Amino acid sequence: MVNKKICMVGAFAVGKTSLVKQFVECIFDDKYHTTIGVKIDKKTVHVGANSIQLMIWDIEGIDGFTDLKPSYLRGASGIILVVDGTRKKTLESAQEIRKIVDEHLGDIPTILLINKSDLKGAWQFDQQDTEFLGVDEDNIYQTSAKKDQNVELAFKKLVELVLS
Amino acid sequence: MNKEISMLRIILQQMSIAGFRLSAGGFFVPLFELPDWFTQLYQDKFSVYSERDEYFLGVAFPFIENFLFDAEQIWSQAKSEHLQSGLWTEENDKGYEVYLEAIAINAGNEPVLLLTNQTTNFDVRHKVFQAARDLAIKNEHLENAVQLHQRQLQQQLEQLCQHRDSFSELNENIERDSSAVLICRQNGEVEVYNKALIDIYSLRNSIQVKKESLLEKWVNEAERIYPEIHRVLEVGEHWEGEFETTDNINQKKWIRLMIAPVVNDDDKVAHYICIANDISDSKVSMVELERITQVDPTTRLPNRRRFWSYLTEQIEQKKSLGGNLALFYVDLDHFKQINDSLGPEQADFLLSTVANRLKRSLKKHDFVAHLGADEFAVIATEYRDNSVLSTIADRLVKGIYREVSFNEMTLNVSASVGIAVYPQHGSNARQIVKSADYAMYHAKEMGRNQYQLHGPTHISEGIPKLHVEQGMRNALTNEEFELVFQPQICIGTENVYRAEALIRWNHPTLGQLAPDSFIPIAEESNLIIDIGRWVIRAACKELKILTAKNLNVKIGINISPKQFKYSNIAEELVQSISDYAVDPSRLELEVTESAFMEDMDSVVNQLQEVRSLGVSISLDDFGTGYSSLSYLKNLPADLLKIDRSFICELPNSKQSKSIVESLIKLAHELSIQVVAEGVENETQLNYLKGLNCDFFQGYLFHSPLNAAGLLSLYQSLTLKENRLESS
Repeated sequence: MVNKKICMVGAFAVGKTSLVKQFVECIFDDKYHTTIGVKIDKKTVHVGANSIQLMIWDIEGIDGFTDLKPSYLRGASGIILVVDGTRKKTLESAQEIRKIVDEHLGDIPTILLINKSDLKGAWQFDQQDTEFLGVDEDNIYQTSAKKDQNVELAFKKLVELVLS
Repeated sequence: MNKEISMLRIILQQMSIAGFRLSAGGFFVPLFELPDWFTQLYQDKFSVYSERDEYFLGVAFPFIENFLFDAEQIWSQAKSEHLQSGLWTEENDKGYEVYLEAIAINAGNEPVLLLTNQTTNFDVRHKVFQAARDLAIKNEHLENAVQLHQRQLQQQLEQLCQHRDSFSELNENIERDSSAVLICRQNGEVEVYNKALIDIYSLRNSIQVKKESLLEKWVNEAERIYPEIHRVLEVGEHWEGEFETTDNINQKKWIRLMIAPVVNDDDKVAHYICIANDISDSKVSMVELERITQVDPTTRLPNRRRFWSYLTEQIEQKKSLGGNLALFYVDLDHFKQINDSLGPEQADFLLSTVANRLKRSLKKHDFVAHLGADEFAVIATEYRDNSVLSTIADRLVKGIYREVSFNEMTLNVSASVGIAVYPQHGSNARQIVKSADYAMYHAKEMGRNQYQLHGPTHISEGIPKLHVEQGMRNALTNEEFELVFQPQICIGTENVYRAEALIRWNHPTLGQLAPDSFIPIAEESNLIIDIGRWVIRAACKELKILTAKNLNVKIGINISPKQFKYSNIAEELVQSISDYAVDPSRLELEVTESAFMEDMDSVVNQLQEVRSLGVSISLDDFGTGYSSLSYLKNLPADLLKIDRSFICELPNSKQSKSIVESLIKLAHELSIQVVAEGVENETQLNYLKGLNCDFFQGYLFHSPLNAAGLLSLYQSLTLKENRLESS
């Protein structure tokens, strides 16, 4: 079976860990538990006749006192960049991360998740506002880890991009 | 060496560290017995069972596999470096999370990987980060709410402004608004304002508002972080931002300001709508948030993270503006024993006490941080010149060296301090820290509870051995060596004066050097024979001076194992005793256990010959070497010196207690007297007195004295005794 490393990146509290938990274990916990460092989860996905083991690196979100360590990105086949629709500031962090990813991994398959679509009434920006991040429109998903909206779809899309 | 290895094993076990060496075969070999948590986790992750001590860490842990790329960089370098991986989480088979960190070390060209289990400390760290991020999210929401309100208000006011010639009617719309509103002409002349503006700026009355050109003030204040503001307003665009402002009573505040131009029919800017909100509270909490992640929760001092950023900033500043910076690396003595004996709560109490003492010993410009465990650091950036560094260090050492009262006992706390100066001892933060750390280690070696400046005393670093050797040859000719004397105290009725002679090298350019920086090289090059001969003669010369002053002192001289092998000690003693006409019973040879290792019979014969001259023999550093207690009865010894490593652990360590008790008891049964080395506090002294130890040596009594100091000490003691006798 082929192994592929996928990195979940984004600002703190955008829901990276919840998305991974929903995708891997189909669980959602409403309480926010901040991640420190890195946690790696594995999940096997089937795309056509292929079985692929994803090694999902859930990397601590960036903030004023935590930067993204470029060494964590080494060997990644795909990136899941997560922003929180209810917090415009998370777009600034996403832009910062895009720069780091570009510098270290170049043009790598990336999908953008605008998370917390269950709170759409409180969104501070919409999909158009994310254009500056340079992610192809087809690779942007509005997700909710809480309601399990588009989570599996988004991961599978990334796998397709990685394999193509 | 065996002792060091055994200590290392205990340290790794107690700290629950799994230590490995990377083998040529690409697998990892444990350095010592592996902790249970690791063995279990490895079995959970790596199902291939092997009875051999071969661990495939990169296969079992993908995080380590990734880290090994960075680790290789460290291991391929010739110098001693280390690299930390950052924290990662593993889940064991039972579903429990284990928090780990890997450290790659180049240990003398051996690739070493340590795995530390951070699970115990994780909760505290997690709570701090959780609180910080919760607070950050709240602030974000608050800022967003303010921003939204300002934008809605601005749109509302803009519409009203465009359809009115007079602004007086606007008052009703804005008077009660929580945001401060000011509408002014392009030149700053005020048209309308509300109460919130008066409140934010602590203005006295409306007349003052009219007079204050707040627009100009705001633009000037904002320009410091938004240099483009002038241009934006000049071209009639909308501007918003956050900056620090000063109110009418000189109080600093953070405001969020929006300036929206209102154009007239000629498409020219006629007015500005300015909306401001006081966001000081959320800004302060953001600052607090940064602060709590950079503060050590035990001591409330800046933590290691803050220390590194501060040191780097200060060095950068000194690079551009010039000037010196001094780093004092402070390490508590015997903290581990205190921690083990009293428990973590009392140890935390001790750390916060030391933190307070350090703060009190420093001036307000000095920076002090708690780097973790028993390590503190002080950065001094504003001091006259390097001559004051010893004064500062002395203040630190003395400031700490006092009793600390715990619930049931009182302990003397001391610290060793290493000093390094930018730019003399390093051009960047890492080099300065290494230099200070090295100097601190040297202070420990020199007996603790003292400070050492990096540099002159550490010649073994960086200076080729050949230069040191040549320097020592010249030192013998130029009389650059000097003896200093550490008195040994007898607490009893008998007044016995004893001192151990210790060599110092007054180097013409490097200053006074301690023996550990040149004796090892002298041993390697056999120069130790000539230096040893000089020591015997210098000690006899000193004895002659003391005897002439009617002072009956016994002086101990350290003898190298090489002197037994390559010189005739007895003959050299006879010559010196005769030349200086001294009483041989006033001399004592201090011999370490290692002297007996190569040819015990020959050394014993030589010592018996020495003894027959009337010179006594003491066994130095006893207990640290390879000999067993049963050897003791075969050695021609008059005195036994118990090594400081046992004394420093008294009375808390059970092992050290039982070794010291046995040594003293056995020595006394063999009619051998005992000296305890490295006695540093009253608790140790009282304990040793209880065991009838004969003599004590250490910083509790005296640090090494030069010849004049020794003479003056014994003269004053004699005077005191004479007075007591006559009264």
